[in-house]
Amino acid sequence: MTADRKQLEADIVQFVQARGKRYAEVTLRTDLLESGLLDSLLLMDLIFHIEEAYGIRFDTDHVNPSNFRTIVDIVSFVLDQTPVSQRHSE
Amino acid sequence: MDILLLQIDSPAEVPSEIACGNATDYRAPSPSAATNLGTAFFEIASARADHPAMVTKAGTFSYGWIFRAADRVRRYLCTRPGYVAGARVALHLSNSPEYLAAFYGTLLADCVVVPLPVSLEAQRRRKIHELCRPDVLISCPDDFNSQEHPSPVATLTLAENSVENTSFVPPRRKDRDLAMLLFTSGSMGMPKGVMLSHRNLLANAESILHELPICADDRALVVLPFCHAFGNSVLQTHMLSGATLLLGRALTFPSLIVEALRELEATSFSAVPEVYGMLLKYGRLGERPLPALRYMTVAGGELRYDLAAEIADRIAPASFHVMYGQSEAVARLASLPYQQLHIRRGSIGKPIWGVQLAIMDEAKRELPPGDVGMLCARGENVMLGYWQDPAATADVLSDDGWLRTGDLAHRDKDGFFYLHGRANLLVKVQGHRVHPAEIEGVVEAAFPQTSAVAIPAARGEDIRFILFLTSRDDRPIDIAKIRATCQRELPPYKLPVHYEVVDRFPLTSGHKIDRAALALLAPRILTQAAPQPHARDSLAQSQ
Repeated sequence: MTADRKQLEADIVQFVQARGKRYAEVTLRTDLLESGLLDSLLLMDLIFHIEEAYGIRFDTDHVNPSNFRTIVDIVSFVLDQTPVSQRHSE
Repeated sequence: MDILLLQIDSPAEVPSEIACGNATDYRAPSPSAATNLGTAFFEIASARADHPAMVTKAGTFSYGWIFRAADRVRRYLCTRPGYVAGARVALHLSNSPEYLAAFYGTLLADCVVVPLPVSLEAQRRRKIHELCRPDVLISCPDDFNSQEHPSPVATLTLAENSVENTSFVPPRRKDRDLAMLLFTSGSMGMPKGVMLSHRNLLANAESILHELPICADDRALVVLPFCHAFGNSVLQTHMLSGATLLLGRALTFPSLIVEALRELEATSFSAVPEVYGMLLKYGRLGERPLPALRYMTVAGGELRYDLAAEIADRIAPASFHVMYGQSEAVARLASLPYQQLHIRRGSIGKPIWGVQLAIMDEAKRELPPGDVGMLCARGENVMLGYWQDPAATADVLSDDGWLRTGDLAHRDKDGFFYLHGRANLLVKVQGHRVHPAEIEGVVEAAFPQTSAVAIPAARGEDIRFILFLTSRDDRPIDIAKIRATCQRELPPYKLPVHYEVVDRFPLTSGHKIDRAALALLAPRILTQAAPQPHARDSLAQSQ
């Protein structure tokens, strides 16, 4: 579980930091909402990236501030959504 | 260039019975009666002094408050050493009461407003500053980047309990005098300053007020930036009606937009197509009634018919208005009457009041119904021209006042217009006009041995860029370095979502790069590129 989380965190941090100068300092616990960094374009891109890379689907209830406030929150959400069977397979 | 920072002391208290939006019988004078946008605002602000002009999370700002704040900005500008009428004043402000104060204060000082997006990349902002040489830049502490502008800064506190007397000094500029420079991407990708006169701005507001049921008791929830043509149009039409603009909290989230519409009792909402896509997917729009809502509008890009129909269905009995326009015509040119949405599928509607639209061929002859040609527009809202660029102006604006929009279209026998793509390479991303050269230029400037071609591609309901790269001298291409340059230089909406190296670019028979052939490769590349097997596999295999 720990390895999973670390890897996911690194992936999402890299994804967000890759958006340019304003995002270069983003860390796991940066408040993406208070800092104004999470605009609708980043939200859309994060959803797209996570859905494609981790095979989960967001529904209406998932797209809310508590799941997207920090990268830690995003990763916790992704881990919650990944089917247990998939995580334990192979 | 002087820098002025605006700071808010305290919002005005608005009597609660007015703040609640109880019906009033105020009717604003028609914008066509005015000759100066600042004066038109002043007249409404005096009549509506206690009515909320803007509601933010910090409080309610009345028309009287905004006018007093604008007057302070006017005084600052007019008493500066070297003040001249017609000087450019750049605004570097998010949507806020400060924006309203700076906007109308600049017009009341007989200066020209140059609103710039807060997120604009530094390089492009420098280019725009070079082009129009603003005398003053107005910002606020939250939006100001002190590293970029080391020059001295003055601060103006916009206080309710100001000891100064507010006065109205009628501005002298009017009608066809320049009021606003709206920078957008030209057909070659360079920034172009769209010159809008007082008449242009007032005429387009008048046209829209004929089209949409905006009244003095309206409360519009705003997500569009005011520095954008569509956002500016929402701002002007509401201020010129004596209505209220609502700025909500965390409106990034579609579900929170819907909640804000309910809680703030918004009567209208306007957005670009991407936002409607998100509202349908994640917003729960229509699940709970929105009794105050009367209408929504979309512009700034094409919204697919099926999505428009679903929005219309979910918000009924409120109406959904599909609109079309461009910065060169202030904002809006056409509107589809909501009753026609299902009959004229995919249409942008008919010209709005005061505007003529026609389909023309290369020789500027009007084409009959059914023929595809250049969509052209004429009316008092059509710009004066591009700032200090007569050649670019002559390309789009003819002596008899017809504006070539750059959009290909046809009209049906009943006079409804339908778009058929662009005649040039401009692309709309989230309502922003982007030219591929803006992306290609950044890469080729940093990597002269690399040739780059940016191709727009659909990703979901979204349009984004794929960057095709090839080497001019057979040296290998370092994608990581190119990506890092793009990330440093470009704002997120221009960032390529994928980088693809090819041996050589396909060429047309005229030996130009065949963009259409590259565009055909795009869907396959995006499908292959999207999943990241390493991430998925590692998640599946661990534990």
